[in-house]
Amino acid sequence: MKLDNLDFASGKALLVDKPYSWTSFDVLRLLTKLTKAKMGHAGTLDPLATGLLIIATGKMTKMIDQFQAEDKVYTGEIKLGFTTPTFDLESDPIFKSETDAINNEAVAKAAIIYTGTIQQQPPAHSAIKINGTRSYELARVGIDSKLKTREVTIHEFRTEWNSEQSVVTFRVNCSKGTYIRSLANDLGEALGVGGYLKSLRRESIGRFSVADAYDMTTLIETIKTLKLEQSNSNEDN
Amino acid sequence: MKIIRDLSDYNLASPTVLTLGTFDGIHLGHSELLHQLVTYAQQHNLPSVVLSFWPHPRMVLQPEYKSLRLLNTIDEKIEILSNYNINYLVFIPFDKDFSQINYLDFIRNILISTFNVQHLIIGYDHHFGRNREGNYDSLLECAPIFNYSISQVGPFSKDFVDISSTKIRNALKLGEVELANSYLGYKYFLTGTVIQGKQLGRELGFPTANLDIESYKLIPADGLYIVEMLVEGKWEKGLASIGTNPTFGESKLSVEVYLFEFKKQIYNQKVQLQFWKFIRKQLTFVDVNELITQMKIDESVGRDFFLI
Repeated sequence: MKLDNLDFASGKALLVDKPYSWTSFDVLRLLTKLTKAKMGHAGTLDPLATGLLIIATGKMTKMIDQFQAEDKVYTGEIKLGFTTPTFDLESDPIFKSETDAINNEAVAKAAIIYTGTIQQQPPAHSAIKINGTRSYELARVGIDSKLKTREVTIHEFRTEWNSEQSVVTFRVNCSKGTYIRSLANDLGEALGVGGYLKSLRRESIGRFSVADAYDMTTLIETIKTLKLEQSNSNEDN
Repeated sequence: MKIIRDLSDYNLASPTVLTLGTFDGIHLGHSELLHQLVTYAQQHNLPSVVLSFWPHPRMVLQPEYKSLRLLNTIDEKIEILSNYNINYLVFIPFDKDFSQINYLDFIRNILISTFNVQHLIIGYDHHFGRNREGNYDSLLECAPIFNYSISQVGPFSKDFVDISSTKIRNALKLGEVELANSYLGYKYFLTGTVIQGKQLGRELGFPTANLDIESYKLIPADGLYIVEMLVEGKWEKGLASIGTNPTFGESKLSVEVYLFEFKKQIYNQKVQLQFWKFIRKQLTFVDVNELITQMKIDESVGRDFFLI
């Protein structure tokens, strides 16, 4: 939505490109401070991921569940030969195996196993609650709570192997609730060398695309400019 | 994926994992079947074969289906199937003679002699051979004789409705592209070439691209749709008008696309048009100003849809 007024209370939905290392909540906190409006977002992105976040304010917050139910497209990189406890770079990589025997075909074949409707084991380090406690809190104190597998659909899982960096670049189109971290870990395991999610970008949520999203700097500038215009016109009156 | 259009070009001796069908649309049910085919082939280290027919058997056999429009052109089908890691895609030229082969000869001469089938994966409603006499049961009966194994897939249902190509065709004929898309698992799309139109849109401030579409391809019902068009490697958002331009007294069906941001002339380029949502029926306007006012409303509906 192009921002041409500050009427956040009556309902807006904005496409934002979340910066690297920000939490999804950081984005909300900053925008709330600027606009004083109530808002929510549709679908958390991990701090180390970038890409599309949908922010809804006012009446549009009713739409959040609907946005969240949409299929999502992600791109990113999976580093092979190493694993991490969180399946991403939130924890330190541990060497597992050389990757000399890996080639493009082997990666593509492993990706086929995880294409279609599959049962996915969510990562132990996830926000899913077990008897009221977050799974990652249990995992931090060493309890592996063996989360129930979930049925998710991977419509498309395209891969390309880069042997110099031992990295698989990928594009995945998946149903809601899919953990890309788990997909990275599973792919590494299927190839017998281990793998973790090195980088992740959310390209789209349903019909909404990051290509149409505001970067945070532009969004903040736009809101500030609108505020200035508003206070100027108030003075004129 | 190797594409074979003549059986004499197929010369692989290895045992295979095979599925057969027309696969019009390659919807979620087909997709599940194809995933099972490829996974099975990989686990058993065998080549996978998709055996299909062209033209669509109904076009050849049932004259009342002369008006049958298909969800995929042959090129679109190849494009979609190339995403599945299938090893061989074989099109058997389908004609009256071929349709007279009885199912037992089909199994013996095609499935066994030509393709050396070790495992068959079959859709729940698949029939083959003269008078459609061959089906899952007959394939099961023949399995011990010819020494192959067989599994059946589907039906695949969504919201308690069994998905079929016919249901998708019917939905599109009513303009229900969102329902069709939910059965397909992707956005229904047309491929076409941009041709010169009457340039009426340009004069009104809404330049449009006119698309030339393959004659047997199913075009959704008349009306205005929110779309995206793949042009010069990028998906551009806009509106597509399908119909006969009643305001200008025309009668030939046309597909015209107005893009929100992309304004370049692109004659003779090949484009892909995917459908997101039906917004309204074709209207006849009393004058050009009324049409322009409506187009402005339509554009804002389209932009709001994508939150742009």
